[in-house]
Amino acid sequence: MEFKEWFCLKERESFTIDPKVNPEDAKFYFGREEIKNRIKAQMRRSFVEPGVPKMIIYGSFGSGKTQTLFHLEYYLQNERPEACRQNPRTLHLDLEMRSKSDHADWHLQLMETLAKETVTKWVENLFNQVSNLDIELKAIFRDNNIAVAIKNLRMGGDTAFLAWRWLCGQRLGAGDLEHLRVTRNLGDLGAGDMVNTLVGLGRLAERNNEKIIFFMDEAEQFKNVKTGDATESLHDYLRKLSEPSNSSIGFIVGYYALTLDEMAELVVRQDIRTRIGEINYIEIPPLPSIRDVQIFLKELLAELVKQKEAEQKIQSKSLGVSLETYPFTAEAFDMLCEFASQDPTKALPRNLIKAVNECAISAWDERKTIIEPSIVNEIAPLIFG
Amino acid sequence: MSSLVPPDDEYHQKAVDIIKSYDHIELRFNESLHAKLYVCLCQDESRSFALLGSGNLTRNSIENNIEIAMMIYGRSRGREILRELSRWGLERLRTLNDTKLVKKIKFKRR
Repeated sequence: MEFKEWFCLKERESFTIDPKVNPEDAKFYFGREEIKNRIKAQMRRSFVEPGVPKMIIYGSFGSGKTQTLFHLEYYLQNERPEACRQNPRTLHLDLEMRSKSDHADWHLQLMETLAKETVTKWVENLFNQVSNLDIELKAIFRDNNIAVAIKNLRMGGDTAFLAWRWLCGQRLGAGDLEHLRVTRNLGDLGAGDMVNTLVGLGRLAERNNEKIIFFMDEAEQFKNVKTGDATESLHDYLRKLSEPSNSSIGFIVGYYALTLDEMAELVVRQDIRTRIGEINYIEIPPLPSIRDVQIFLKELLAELVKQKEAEQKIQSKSLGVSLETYPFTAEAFDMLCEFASQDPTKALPRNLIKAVNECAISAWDERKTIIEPSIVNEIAPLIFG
Repeated sequence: MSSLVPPDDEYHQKAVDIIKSYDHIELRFNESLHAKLYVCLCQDESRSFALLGSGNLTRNSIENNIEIAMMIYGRSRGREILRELSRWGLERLRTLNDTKLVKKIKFKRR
């Protein structure tokens, strides 16, 4: 018998939840009803004003920031808020910053996540809807060079490739600029030039009945940037993206930090906080009490274990455990919750999931059908100690 | 490992004894396992990496054999592969039917 059958797992190899490996896991958000509802409510409000969500989600390592981002993405895709009139085009990326990374690197990452094919399709659709594409593109992008580059995407081949490179902020030589019929490189006018392109693409998306929302994880990478000029350019980029006038590009950022003070200064400078709004800096705290840990674990087990199969197993083998805590005995379950709650900073979803998994593997090693207190007593100190 | 399959060579036994003496190492045995995978996971994922290939981490392999391996870094598209490999090593491989536990870990798991 395989491990997953041993513990009646639903179509999965273990108790681990990881939407990065298994996209289906994005639907899970165990316990923490209050924070979940608060973030969702805030997101719904943001579609009314300023028109897109702009949020920074922060918390400690393993607190569930990534799961929160994936879950919000899942929520948008499956229960679109009424105020979001277009279909959400959710785009997930893990930010990568080095010591000299600047606004151009960030812009490139966002554009590559959006993808040339997506933008080209939008331009093509627009072309099929309007009588004069030039006029429409100028109205959408409010800049002649950007509009010309966007139009070039329709040309295909090398021209489209060059146009995409230009829109991504890659520097082109004079010959290539002439070929594209643009008078400068994107970014020659600063970070605002690139943000204008992105926000224009957001408006183009809206014309295609889509709303762009970036989910940017691992924003603590901003701390890697050590150069003053690079930091300022990233700050400019973020400030312009945070402007209330941007109602077409949403962003939800995941940041590993225990407090706002721990974040890279460019993210929490007063002008950024004013624009994003204090209410949109949301902390994902550890599970605050033993009761929250119990709820988290019970919901996790209920979702991951095949309930009918487990119930049959409990009865046929007289295991003497309740379905609610299976495969843990009641005593082992309580013991795990107590271990997890002893140090509130360690009552984190990642630790809880790891503890369940390791306890199950340990029981499997001993060919035990249920997880007894002795196993929890051995494993939990290695995780929560 | 001695209770499962005794190592053929003395140097194998020495290596196993050294590994067994460390509290932070879990030792398992699977007779069918031929893969050579080394994964290093860091809290900062961009510093994580995996080495996947034909070679054992032995002097003989390094000095005398012709081996091939691929380094996978936890950056850009390497992240997805790294996550898959670490899941395989941390969960799938440990819970295969014929994988036997030789020595438990006694060190704090991160």
